[in-house]
Amino acid sequence: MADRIIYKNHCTPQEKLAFAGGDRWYLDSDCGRKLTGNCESKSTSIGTPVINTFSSTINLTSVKFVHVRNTDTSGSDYLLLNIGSMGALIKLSPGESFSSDVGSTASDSTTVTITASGTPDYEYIKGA
Amino acid sequence: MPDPATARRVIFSTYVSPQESLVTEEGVTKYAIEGGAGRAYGGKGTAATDDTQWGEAWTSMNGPQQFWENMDSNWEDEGVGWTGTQTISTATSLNVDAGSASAPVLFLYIRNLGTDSDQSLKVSLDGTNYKICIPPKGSLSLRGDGTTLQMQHVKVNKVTSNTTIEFIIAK
Repeated sequence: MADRIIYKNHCTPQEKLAFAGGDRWYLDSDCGRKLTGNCESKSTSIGTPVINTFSSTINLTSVKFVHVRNTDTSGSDYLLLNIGSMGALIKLSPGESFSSDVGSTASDSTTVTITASGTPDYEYIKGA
Repeated sequence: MPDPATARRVIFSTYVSPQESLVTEEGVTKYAIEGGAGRAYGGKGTAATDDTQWGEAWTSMNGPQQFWENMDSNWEDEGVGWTGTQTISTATSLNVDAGSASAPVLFLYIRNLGTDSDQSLKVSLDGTNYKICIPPKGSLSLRGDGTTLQMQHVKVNKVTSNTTIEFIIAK
């Protein structure tokens, strides 16, 4: 038995135009289309999913793939991810998730630190 | 006369399918949702970005009405993605406008268009250390916190062989 993780990141860029009869959102004309990537992670070992309420800093080590979601459905509490101690923070508001391979090469791993503003509910999966 | 956008936003989502495999008696590999994970995972959000971006190069794609006149004060800059994609053969900043270097990144999307197994892409969010890897055909989407992740910090580089990308980097 072997594990694998298939993951997608999708986005739809939009622009708003102000019609006399009201505003409307359209596909952003600078981009012209939606974007999607679909691939298999380098991770071949899936950790047990963790579902909890944030209370203190979470440090994940030896991570090759990570999926983190802010499972709050409303409010303003958010999660912050620091990948590999780069310092730049990724923000996850209620309902949002981050899913990606991490580490600098196709076989490398790194650390992921999760902090928060407030006490949002969360779930994460770590792939090694 | 074109009517400019009065607002911009990006709706983004992720989908994760953890799977385990078994090989049948006849040697055919079958996959199912991994037992410990129990289901697929994902999330969805909306990033509100500025209606006036830092230049036409905020996305690698070309709109049908994109002319040099639309570059405004950045018309003399070299767009990195005039063909809609950017070839990555060395460390490459996705921000080409020095005036926006310190602007916070409100949304970032990078898609690796490489298809061969040696065409992985690595991403830096501090301009120096590459700690995110995008496999061939994969992509990355994220929202900055509005402070620490700035335009000048986002760089990409090949892992082994050259690859191509398309991207959105919005303030």
